Amino acid sequence: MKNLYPKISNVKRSNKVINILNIISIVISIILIIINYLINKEILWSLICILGIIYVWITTIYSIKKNVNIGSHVIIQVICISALVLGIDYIISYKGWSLKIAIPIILIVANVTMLLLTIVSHKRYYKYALNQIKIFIITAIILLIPVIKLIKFNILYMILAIIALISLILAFTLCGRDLISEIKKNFHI
Amino acid sequence: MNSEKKINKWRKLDNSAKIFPIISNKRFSSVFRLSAILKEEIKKEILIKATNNALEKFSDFKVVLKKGVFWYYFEENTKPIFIEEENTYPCKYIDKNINNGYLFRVTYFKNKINLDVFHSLTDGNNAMQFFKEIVYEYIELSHPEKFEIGLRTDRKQRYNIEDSYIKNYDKKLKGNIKSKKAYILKGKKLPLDAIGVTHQIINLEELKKKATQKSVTITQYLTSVLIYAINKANYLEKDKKKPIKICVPVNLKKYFPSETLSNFFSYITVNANMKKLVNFDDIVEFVKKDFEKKLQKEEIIKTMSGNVKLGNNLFIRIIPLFLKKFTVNISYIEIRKYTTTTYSNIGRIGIIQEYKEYIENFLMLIAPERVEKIKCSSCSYENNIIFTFTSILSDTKIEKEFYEFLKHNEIGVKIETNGVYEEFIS
Repeated sequence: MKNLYPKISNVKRSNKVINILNIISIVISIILIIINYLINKEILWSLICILGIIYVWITTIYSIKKNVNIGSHVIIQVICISALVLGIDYIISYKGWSLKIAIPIILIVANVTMLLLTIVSHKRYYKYALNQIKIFIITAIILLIPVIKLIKFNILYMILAIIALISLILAFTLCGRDLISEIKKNFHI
Repeated sequence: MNSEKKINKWRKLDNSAKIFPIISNKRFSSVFRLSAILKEEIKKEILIKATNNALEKFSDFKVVLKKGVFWYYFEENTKPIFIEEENTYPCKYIDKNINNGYLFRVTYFKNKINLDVFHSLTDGNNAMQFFKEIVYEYIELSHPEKFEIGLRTDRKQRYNIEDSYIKNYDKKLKGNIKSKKAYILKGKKLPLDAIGVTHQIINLEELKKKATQKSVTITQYLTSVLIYAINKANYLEKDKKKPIKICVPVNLKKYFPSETLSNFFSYITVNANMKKLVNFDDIVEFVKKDFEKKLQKEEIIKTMSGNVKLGNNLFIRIIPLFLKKFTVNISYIEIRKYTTTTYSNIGRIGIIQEYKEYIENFLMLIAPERVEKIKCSSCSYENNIIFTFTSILSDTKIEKEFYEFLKHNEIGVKIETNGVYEEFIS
């Protein structure tokens, strides 16, 4: 029973590149805050840059992950870009354009993407069914904003509501069994 | 349209399996390994074919672990299995991103085939059935002239994937209440996440003779030797307040009729108060009595029922998974402190006569972790029982003490390691 195990080299393949990039991001962020503080304190533009850096990080980490399907990418982008535009709007003295225009547009695009995925790949739809439900839930939550009168109901919200509904109805018509199966799987207690 | 659709099958995790994905990470892998040492060099292409053939028979192991809102679940895995040469320490965390989602990993090195299994998938005994199938297939494919088709079909066993815990637990029984915290092994850790492996190849006949002299089973005898070795080599408690606690998994199929391929094990904890146990005879006497008491069916059902009831508690079931992970991980920091180490003996590996001439030995290993820094396991094949220490400690005093004891008691024993100690300590 000799030589049962190999000699292990590169024991700890620590993600050195990721660690270095992490440190660079933190250093750049600190430098930006200092410059922002020294030059002009009224507009916190450094925060916009930091939000951008965080967005790039989340997108990169998610993109290099294997076993992540298009539907999941759509959801993560919806959440990240919405947070990004909301943050920018807030930092440059809140005017409400993020809620009135940007976020409904982002969700319209997301719903249309899911609608296209449903039509194009309904035979393998089980892969996207849960994401369709998640997008619909996010959309429903955002549609509450004009309902509770945080902003005025506008044409974009009208389009968003119609597209989300069409998307869900079409999904149920073409792939109802998949949707129900996904709901059972994911919500079992 | 529907006929062309492929909806992936899914199933819930059994009651034991639920906990492992919640608590596992790179430092707490919940992985065990089975290895077979053949008398010939392993060929990758044959091993791939053998594994795929075995997977056809054990198709319930062809799954990927997915996150639900409240619990994880298994979904059918349609991706191919990766097989590669062993290039890391045994029992390392199985990353689904680099393993096509499979919850087991097949590797090879020279004459050895390894099967590393994430405990959520199954327990040691069931994994051994799957592993034996891989080994049988490998030998048949390597020597087609020697093996007729149908040699093993008569012996085909029936399996299912029922949750045997749910079927056999008693709703009315309350679980055992845990007592004192255990003594935690102390010592400097090995660098760079290394795992030290020490196999002690023990002469089975000589060991049996010694165990019979003390009127104990082999598991009881080896548990006693382990307590003795820990006490001599690592137990630094001056007031001896904390007991040495050894967790011993129990195969529940010996107690309940079950054909499940899912987990179906429980455990007993041998609780050795070292104030009262002065010498080896005291230890062996105590271990014998403690085993006999705790291995009674009523006690086993009590432990099992307590665990099942916890997993079935409606309040726990409706907590979202991310919150479960958070709370369970915090409470597990404390729970782990109730065991000094684990010793799992999967017993004799029975192999069909015609295949024996190709197999030299079998090994079993369990992943150590930050609290249980050493874990022990054993299995026997032909005239050997191989007792294996897997450790993250840089010293090998316990292993040496264990070896010395056996030698001193005229039990034949040889040592093999994975070379980590020579590499890092010399």
